[in-house]
Amino acid sequence: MESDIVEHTGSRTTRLLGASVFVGLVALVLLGFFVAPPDDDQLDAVRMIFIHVPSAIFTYVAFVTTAIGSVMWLLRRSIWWDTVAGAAAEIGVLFCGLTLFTGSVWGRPTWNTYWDWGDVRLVTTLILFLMMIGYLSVRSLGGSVEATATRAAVVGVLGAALLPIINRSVEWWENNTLHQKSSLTDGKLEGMTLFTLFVGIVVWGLFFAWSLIHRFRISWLERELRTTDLDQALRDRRAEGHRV
Amino acid sequence: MTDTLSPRAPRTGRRGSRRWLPAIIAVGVLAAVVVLVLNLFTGALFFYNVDEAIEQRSDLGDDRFTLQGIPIECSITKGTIGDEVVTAFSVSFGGAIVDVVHRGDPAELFKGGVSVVLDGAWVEGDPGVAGFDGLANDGWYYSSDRMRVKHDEDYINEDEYDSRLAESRSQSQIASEVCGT
Amino acid sequence: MTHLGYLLVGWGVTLGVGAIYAASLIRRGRRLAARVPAARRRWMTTEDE
Repeated sequence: MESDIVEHTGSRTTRLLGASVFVGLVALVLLGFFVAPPDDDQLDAVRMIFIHVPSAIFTYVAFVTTAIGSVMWLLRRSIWWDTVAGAAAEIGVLFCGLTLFTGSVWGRPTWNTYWDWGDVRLVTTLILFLMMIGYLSVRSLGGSVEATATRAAVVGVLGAALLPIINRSVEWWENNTLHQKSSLTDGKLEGMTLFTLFVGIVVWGLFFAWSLIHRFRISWLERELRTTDLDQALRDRRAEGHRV
Repeated sequence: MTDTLSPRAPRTGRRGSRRWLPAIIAVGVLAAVVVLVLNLFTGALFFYNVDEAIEQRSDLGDDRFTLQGIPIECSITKGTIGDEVVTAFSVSFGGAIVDVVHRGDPAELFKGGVSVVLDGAWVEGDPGVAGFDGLANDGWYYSSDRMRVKHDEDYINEDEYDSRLAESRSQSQIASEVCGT
Repeated sequence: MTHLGYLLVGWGVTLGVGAIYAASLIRRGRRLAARVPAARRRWMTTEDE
């Protein structure tokens, strides 16, 4: 049973998730480097797929979560959902950054370039990354809780609106991107390559859940601390008044 | 003397320029997004497939453009033009073939059967690369100086490579005809 | 193994950044939890809802 005086944001659930992530990562490294076979076109560079695709998938999941939280704030003024939105956005920025980075490192040996400023898939993903950094900046701008949450929610919904465009860009603008179509839905994956990718997605999912719970609780504590500070300030001012 | 009991705002610990940092980041991000969107509208990568490039050859003239096609394995020839080392090959797409002379190193994973995206322009005349006849051989070639590889979304395991390759080759009518495979 | 350098950079940075982020979450949580009264550390219920 959890103690009431714990001074951390962990719980039995997060410890279980954390342990699962650790074990899963060890398995993923072993599978990714030693069990899954090389691709006949991309050779061993294909092993980047096991971290790139899960990062991309959970970028989507994180920003969709942000969008849902943002809409719930706008509709119901729910602080709980606003906190979920902010927590998911921070994790989404992390995953999106890793998606761009691993894609770029993968692109050098396979495409013969790290980056192409005219490539629709790459640039729209970068725009999403920047928009969500903007979302986090807006959350840090200060002002009332309501105004901050509302401004952030608008940016969060706009950012999420980019997701279907990014996802479908490889179909809609086939002649404007080096990026292959979706590996999972359109590609041919089989055997240990498919299994290892599946393990990667599960591990990333567990890490996303672990991070989301911790980050949510941190935001919650920050809000409680602001309230505590305000209460203390009130008591201090009242005490000053009594002394006069 | 205290003139009011109304609460003061809690101290945030931010001082000076740190207070403005999120605003500066937000404005910077907005500017970057605008620049990137404009870049997509004005300078987006756009490649013509082989058949489209041939159709529009007269319109394209000697302008630089980007070409996408699948190299035909048996056509790939290393050669020289003057002192310059070049790679000459033919690419196909949409039932058409273009001869290509690529200056500089080819992409690391360049090989027959895997799409390439090339930057360059049409040149009228013979490629002039010893040992390369050109499968299109239509009096034009594409002179390229930048090569990228465009992979598809299929990940083939090595164990089954030979059977898959045979299947892929049998489906490529042009490659079968011109390479005699 | 081909492209080992690229793979080590890609995997290394990903796992490293993930580990640093996880450690920062735990550290931030501990620091904040120590400053917030125990009665206010319940994050699943709120009067705002």
